[in-house]
Parts: sequence; C-alpha cells; structure tokens
Amino acid sequence: MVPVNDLIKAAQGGSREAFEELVQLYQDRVFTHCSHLANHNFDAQDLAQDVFVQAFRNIRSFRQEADFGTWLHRIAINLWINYCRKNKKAIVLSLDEPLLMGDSELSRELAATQDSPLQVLERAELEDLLKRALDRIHPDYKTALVLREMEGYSYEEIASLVGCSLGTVKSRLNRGRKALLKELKPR
Amino acid sequence: MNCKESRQLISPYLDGMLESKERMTLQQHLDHCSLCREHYRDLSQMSSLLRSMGKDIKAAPAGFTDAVMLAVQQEEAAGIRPRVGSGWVRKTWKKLLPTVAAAGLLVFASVNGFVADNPPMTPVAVQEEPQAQYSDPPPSNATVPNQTAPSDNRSVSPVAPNEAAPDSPRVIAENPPENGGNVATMQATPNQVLLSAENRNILSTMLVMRSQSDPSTMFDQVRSIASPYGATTERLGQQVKDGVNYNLFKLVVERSQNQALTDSLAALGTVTSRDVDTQDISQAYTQALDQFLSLSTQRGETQDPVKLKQLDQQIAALQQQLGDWRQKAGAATIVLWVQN
Repeated sequence: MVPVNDLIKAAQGGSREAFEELVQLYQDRVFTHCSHLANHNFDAQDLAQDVFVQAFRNIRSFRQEADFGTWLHRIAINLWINYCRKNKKAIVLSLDEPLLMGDSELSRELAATQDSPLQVLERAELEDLLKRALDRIHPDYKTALVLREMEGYSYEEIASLVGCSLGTVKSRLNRGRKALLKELKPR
Repeated sequence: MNCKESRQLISPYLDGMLESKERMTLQQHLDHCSLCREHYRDLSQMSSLLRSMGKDIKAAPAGFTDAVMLAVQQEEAAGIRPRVGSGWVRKTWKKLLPTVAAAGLLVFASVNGFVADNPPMTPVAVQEEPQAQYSDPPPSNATVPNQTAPSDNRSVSPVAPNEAAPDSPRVIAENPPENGGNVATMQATPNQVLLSAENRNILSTMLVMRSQSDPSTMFDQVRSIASPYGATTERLGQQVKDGVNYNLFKLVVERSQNQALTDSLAALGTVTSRDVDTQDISQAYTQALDQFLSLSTQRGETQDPVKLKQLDQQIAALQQQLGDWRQKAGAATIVLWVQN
C-alpha cells in the first residue's frame, strides 16, 4: 500500500489514479461524516461526492503537515453550511412537518408516558427519532452537536471548523441540546 | 443558583467545560431540584446516545469511487463547476449509476484479463443543463469562488451568504479540458489496492460428488479442468466421513471464474452437495482501514523515535491484514470432495 503522503503528492502532481486511491482510502470516513450532517434534502451520497470533487479541484492547496482526513472533513462541513445558508427557506418549511407523522404508535407512546421517552423507546427507534429530530433543529445547532457529540471535537476545534467564537460554540451547543430535547419530548 | 441559571450550565457541564466553583454550585442545585435533575438526566442520556451513534462507521455505497472519478473526469473534460446542493450532482449521481455499474464491470473485467486487448470504455458524460463555455485563459492559481474547500488547512471560515455560489452556472478554467470535449474517458485502474464495498467478503464453495473415475488419475483430471481457468490446484489428501472415503482437492481461482470452474468440475461425476459460503468482512475491513488512517495521522504528528517505531509496526501489520483480505476477497476457494 502506497503511503498516504505519497498519494497526496502524486495527486497534487496531477495523478488521477493516486486521487482515486485516496478516494478509496477515505470514502468510508467521509461518508460517515456526511451521513451525520446530511438530511433528506441533501443526502450523504451527494454531499460525500461533492466533498471529493471539491478536494480534487483544490488538492494543490493542501499542505502536507495537516491531516488529509481532517481537511476533507472541513470541506464537508463548509459544503453543508453553504447548502444550509442557501436553502434556509426549504429547511424552515420542512420544520412544519410533524416529526412523528405516520408513526401513531410511537406518538401515543411518547404522549402517554410520564417517564422520559429516552427510557421508554428501544434504542433503534430512538436513534431514528434522534436523527429526524436533528434534521428539524437549526442547522447551526445541528452542526455544533454533530461535531461535539458524534465527532468528538473540542470547543476550540469546532470554533475553528465552523468559523465562529468559543462563546458561539457554547451557546449553540446549549441551545441545540434544548431544541433537540424539545423535539424528542414535546410537552 | 436558580433553575434558569442551572439550565445554562448543564450543557457545558456535560462537556466538562465548567470551572470547579461553577461545577460545585450546579451539583448542589441538582441535588435539591428534581426538575433540573431530570433535565440533566435527559440531556445526559441524549448525549450518550449521540456519542454512540457517532462511533458507527458507515461504508460508502457500492460504486461510489467510480461515481466520484466520473464526476471528476466529467468536470475536467467540460470545465464545468457543479453548484453545491443544486441538484446537479444528485441528478448526475443517479444518472451515472448505470454507467458506473458498467464502468465497474469494465475495471473488474480488465483486471481479470477479459478485455485486456480492448480499448477502455468511453461513457458519454451526462450534462444536466446547458452550460456556458468561456474561452478566458485559466487563472494562475486555482480560485475558489465559494470557498467550499479550505485553502488554509488550519483556519477555515465558512462562506458568508452573499459569497455563496450564485444560481447561474459557473465555469472555471482551472483544469483545462484534456480531450477538448465533453466525453469522459474511463481509464481502468488495475492497480487498485483497496476493496470496494461490494467486494468485502470471502467466497468459498464446497462441492461433494461421486465419481467413477480412477482415483489415481483424479488429481490430473481436476488439474486439467482447472488450468484453463487459471486456477491453482492442491491435493489435500483423503478423508473418511460417515464410513465413506473421499479424495479432497482445493482450488483457488479468480472470483469471476468461480462459477464457470465449479460448473466444469461437476462434469467429473454426480454432484451430491454444493454449498456456497460468503463470509462478510466489511465491518472488520472498515475498522481496520479506519485504524490504518488514524495511525497514519498519528505518525505524521509525532517526532518520538520510539513511538514512530511502534506506529510503523502497527501500520505494517494493518497493511498486511488489508492486503491479505484483498487477496482472499479477489479469489474464490473451491474445496472438492470426490467419492470413489
């Protein structure tokens, strides 16, 4: 297996084959990141494909001392943020749809229980519900929560990735968690 | 501390971002306030679930690499810049699927010598909407009008709304067309080193048969059937099972030839049993690959010679494992039991 740095150098020199190997190496990681961020409006496959197309276009600007995987992740986040900013209207409209539409049993269970729904629902159902709830909160909150909780980034790293202050990260996480819980546990 | 103040601190508390004084004050409040304690418990459980969801690695769908490379080639050939989230890529992805499938077959076939003497396939690039073509000279450096790709590896700012790509198609000339047209040439790459998602499994077939042939010539017969398929043949010896004597042979063949060879071997006698086993290695493969990338990253960040040596050993072991899997997944094993 050719070392990653050598592949990057070859791709920067114009080798399409080297870039193809990089795609193969990183596609699962990028697809995983994209599946965390994407939603039904902009699905993970499209986002992940856009990431690599952008990476190919800009690979000469990549500096070897950085991690290529992190660089690809930055591209994914920027593409996602751009998409959300350009499609504010579509996202707001989607919030009008009821979260539990077509799942009346789940609705009743949530509505009837005195306990936290987090204790009641099976894990798979809850993950599905959580994923849908993430799609319904503000994209800035979702991005912060995905980066913090699912990707494990620090506040400082999130601030750098998203391009905002530490205070903004703290605020988005706080509001995002409350918004997400509100989606899960309507009162 | 009142409940309003407490609710502001629970989120940073979960992240370990509170100073010790704030932390103690909050803990005291949670000890006495059941509502805030419930809120904390809910957020904490939600946080745990999100973290566990983040641990799953999702394999990219089959044909993903080919779709990316076709999009790249298409862009290079036409000098077109797809707009982010405009539907262009989404539509392209879906329209490309049949082409991608064909291209995937071509790569596979060429690797296996089917079309070694034929020229590479040239799928016609799909163009969703008319795109303007400009003849301006390419800029000296690649420009990124909407800055979706970071040019600075350390600090990346998202694009301000007014800087986002406009609705009208953009054309860039940073990568001038190589063949001057909108026909993308799909080059087969026989030196691919990683397993694509659909090939992450190990295939083996067990064929049990009765034969009237002379056992002393059986190995030569098996080998003569196997050799046109490029298979290796090995005699494993004899085995008695349920009082019946069997001669065992192991054949390893390129995966694409597996079915044809198995069918040909059936001509040796009467097949009494045929079992195909597919061992899924996708999860283990994905984890090993992720670990390989993680170790490669660590290697780039450390200067410690002891640590470097350890990392090199771990990386080499993973390379070996990934290579072994690739070898096994590229081939199929047939174990032949012949009863005489």
